[in-house]
Amino acid sequence: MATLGRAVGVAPRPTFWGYLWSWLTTVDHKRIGIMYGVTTLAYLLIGGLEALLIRLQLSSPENTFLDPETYNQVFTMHGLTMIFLAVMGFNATLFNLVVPLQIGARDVAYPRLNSFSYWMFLFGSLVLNLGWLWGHAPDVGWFGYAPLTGVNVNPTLGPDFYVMGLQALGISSVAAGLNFVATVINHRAPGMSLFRMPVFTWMAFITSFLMIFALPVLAIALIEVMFDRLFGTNFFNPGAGANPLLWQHLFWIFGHPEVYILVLPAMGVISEVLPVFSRKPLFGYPFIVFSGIFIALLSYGVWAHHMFAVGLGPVANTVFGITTMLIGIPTGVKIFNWLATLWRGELRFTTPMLFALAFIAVFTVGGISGVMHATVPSDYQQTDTYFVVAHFHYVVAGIVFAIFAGIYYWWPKYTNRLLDEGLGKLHFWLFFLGFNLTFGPMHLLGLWGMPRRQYTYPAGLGWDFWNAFESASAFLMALGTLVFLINAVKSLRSGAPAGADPWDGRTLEWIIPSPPPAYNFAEIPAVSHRDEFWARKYGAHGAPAHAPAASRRPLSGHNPGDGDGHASDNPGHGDGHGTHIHLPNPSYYPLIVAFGIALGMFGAVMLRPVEVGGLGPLGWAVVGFGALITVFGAYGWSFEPAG
Amino acid sequence: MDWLGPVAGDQAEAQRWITWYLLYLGAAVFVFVEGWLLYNITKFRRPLGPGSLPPQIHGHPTVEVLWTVIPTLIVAAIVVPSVPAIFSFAHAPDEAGALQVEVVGHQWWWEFKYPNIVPGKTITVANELKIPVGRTVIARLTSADVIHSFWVPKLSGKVDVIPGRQVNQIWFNAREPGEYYGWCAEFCGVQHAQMRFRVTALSPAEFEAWVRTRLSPPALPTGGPARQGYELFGSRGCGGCHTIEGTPYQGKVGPNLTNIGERSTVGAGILPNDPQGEGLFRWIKNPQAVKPGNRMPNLGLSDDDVRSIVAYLKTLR
Repeated sequence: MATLGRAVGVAPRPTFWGYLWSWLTTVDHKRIGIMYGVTTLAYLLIGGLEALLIRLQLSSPENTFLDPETYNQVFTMHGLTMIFLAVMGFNATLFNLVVPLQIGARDVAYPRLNSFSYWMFLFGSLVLNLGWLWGHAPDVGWFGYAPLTGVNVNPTLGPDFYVMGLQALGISSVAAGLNFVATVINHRAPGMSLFRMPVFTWMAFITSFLMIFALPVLAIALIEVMFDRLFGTNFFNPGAGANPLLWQHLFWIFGHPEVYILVLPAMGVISEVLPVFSRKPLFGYPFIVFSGIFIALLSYGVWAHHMFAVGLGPVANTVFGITTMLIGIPTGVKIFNWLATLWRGELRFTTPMLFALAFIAVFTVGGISGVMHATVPSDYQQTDTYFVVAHFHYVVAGIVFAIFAGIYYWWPKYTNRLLDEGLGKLHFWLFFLGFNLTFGPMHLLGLWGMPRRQYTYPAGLGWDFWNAFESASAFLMALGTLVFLINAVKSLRSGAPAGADPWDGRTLEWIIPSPPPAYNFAEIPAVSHRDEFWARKYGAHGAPAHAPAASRRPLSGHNPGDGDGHASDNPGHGDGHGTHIHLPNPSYYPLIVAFGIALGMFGAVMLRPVEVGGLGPLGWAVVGFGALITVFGAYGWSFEPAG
Repeated sequence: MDWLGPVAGDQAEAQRWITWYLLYLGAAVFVFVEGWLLYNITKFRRPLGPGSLPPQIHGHPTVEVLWTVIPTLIVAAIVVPSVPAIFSFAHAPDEAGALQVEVVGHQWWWEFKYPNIVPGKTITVANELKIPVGRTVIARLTSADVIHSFWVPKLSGKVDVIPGRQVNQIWFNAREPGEYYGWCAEFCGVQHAQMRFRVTALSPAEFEAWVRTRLSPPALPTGGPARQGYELFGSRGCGGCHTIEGTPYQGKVGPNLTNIGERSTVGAGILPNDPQGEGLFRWIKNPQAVKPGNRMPNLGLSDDDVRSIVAYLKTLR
């Protein structure tokens, strides 16, 4: 922790409690990003553990390692954990750690809202997972298809934890989305026009819009399920004349943009890493940016491709099939531009580069199978088989490659330590091999007719060998992840010092010292180029005539380009060399408001009858208590001086 | 279950063809992209030496147009053959001469009905659907509880089985006689994994003979363990959930057992319905041990009682 504390340039506190308090009340995007990172890493491990349980159960036919009820809880929570907590959490981590630095800002637009987003995320994730302790985790799949979530069909608390947990996480995401849209619009350094922004920031910007517009749809659908379960409404009850397909429409109108919420930041990471380790600018920058925008817009018009088999009729299926295939075009454009970025570059195969290259390799496979699903006649056979499982793991678990690329790439900025390259490469190869050997054969199983979401399967259908093979391979991925953890601990303890610019970076975050001081930039840099730092080092056109080291131009007198400058030792509120740097005060109100909301939501789960594990009407006391805390926190927040 | 190899239905054949077409196209794209990636990785792994930089290329409009147009053409090449297929699947050929069946999905078994197979008569069976070879079958699907999905990969793709007012329809046929596996393909709760069924394609003559047999209820047993089993079926409450035609047992909760003796499996495709009655015995003795969470409770019957009931059920052919 000492290293983490140092990482964000905070003066050490005299006591442990004071130190803890400083984290609980922080509004600094860097510390919030680190908290997001630690939390989501924990969930990545939990989701991975759940994956191993699934693979153990499926390692042989007619296996009885898990009973069906447990298996259904495990696969449901694996999906929810990986999507909402691990990948979305890592995206929030990188938004916090990287976006303000890349645009030359001192913090996000609304620092306290940012803190609220994190605490809402943490408490929401706890509500979602509380089912494990309360006897019944959600077991309806991450998609929770009505009427499977009906209170008569499933009287356990599982769906209630599902509904309230996702609702809480949605609040966190919408708040984060608003915050980063405002940050990117308002807090860019002078001269950084939109088309000088680094591509990761662009993708974070687009993703933030997606979150703002997608999650409210889920929120409405979840409220309807909640009313059905708690108050006897009939939004999704076919027995009372409802059409349960309404849920699927709402869920996928959220759910497909959600896929791009997951993947666009990953594409942003790749677009940062490839140019740096090719020593070339990103090929076709505007095409990559516009492809991202185009994908985001299209993502709202493709939801029914999850529903080709529900009987929408040939016209709707044709239209949604075609709109879905259209997404393949901007995606292809991105992949080709990345490949052209590598073309004639000076490639350096560092660990982040390896993960980035692997992302391209596996994402291409996921893209090809995606277009296959979009082909309606073929999808009638593929849907709900392991072919789909293979597809979305090549996409979503493929994103994990981009996440690891991002971690290896930005880790030195925050710790001032390099991760070990040898362990990094071991991690990479274990993970890459394990990934392909686990998910690759799933394509075959799907084409051979193995349906998904099955806790057991009979012997003799030709599925036995490959299932056992996949289960064994999954442990290679686990082993790779373990190597990463060892690497991380080793780096924090004794990693080689990184300095400000270990990779010969191109963007503003590499100008400032590692770890960044509390105020990020002693002086806000004036930007005149895309890849501003590169332009400062090598000239606007990267003319090779300039010797790199000689042409390095310091940012300003106050803030030398690399090394632990004297500026980094200043506490945030102090004056940086006579210039007063204004930073927001810490606040505990965001934590209180988030806790109050989450407690109220837990109270809503507790409204269920005592026989199933709830508190019955007593639950209202919990709801009321949560509401009270929320109001108290919001009141204090409103009148707190911003500092 | 393999739908990429030889299949038996017209729809499945069209789907198989399009899937192979996609796989070839996909393989070409895969080879091109991964090939270019590998080429870059092997060719440009070079330190250029201090002071020199690779060419700083920012982009090229012509290639951008090129790699926007080429994927568009690939998409067009997929859309062109797939749209007619989508519409052909929506309308059954030979609608007038088709065999009409009704499918009802239950947690976790299938009910099949042949409404008005002869005027005024309906045959109801469970988990095993008999169809005549070569004739188009039109299935109308509804659900008694949650969403299921009807899937016989060798014959056709999936269609969801939805509770409420939406009645979906699918057509399929079998070109060759045989037994084809079916599977619920939409997650439907605890025992989704064991909601299986079979479609058996018989020659038209065999099918006609089967229909004739099914139109008259099986004879009541007159003595021996089968008769005891018949009595127990009532006294132990089996008849409250199950229907056996020609008897007072008219329960509608569980599968119709009128033809249980001729079925090849028990418990929605889980246990073999062997001649010795071992499968039936295991099921009735403790259904929760075979298929945990299913709707049939463990009735706590003695082994002798179970054997009698099995003897009775075996006569229902």
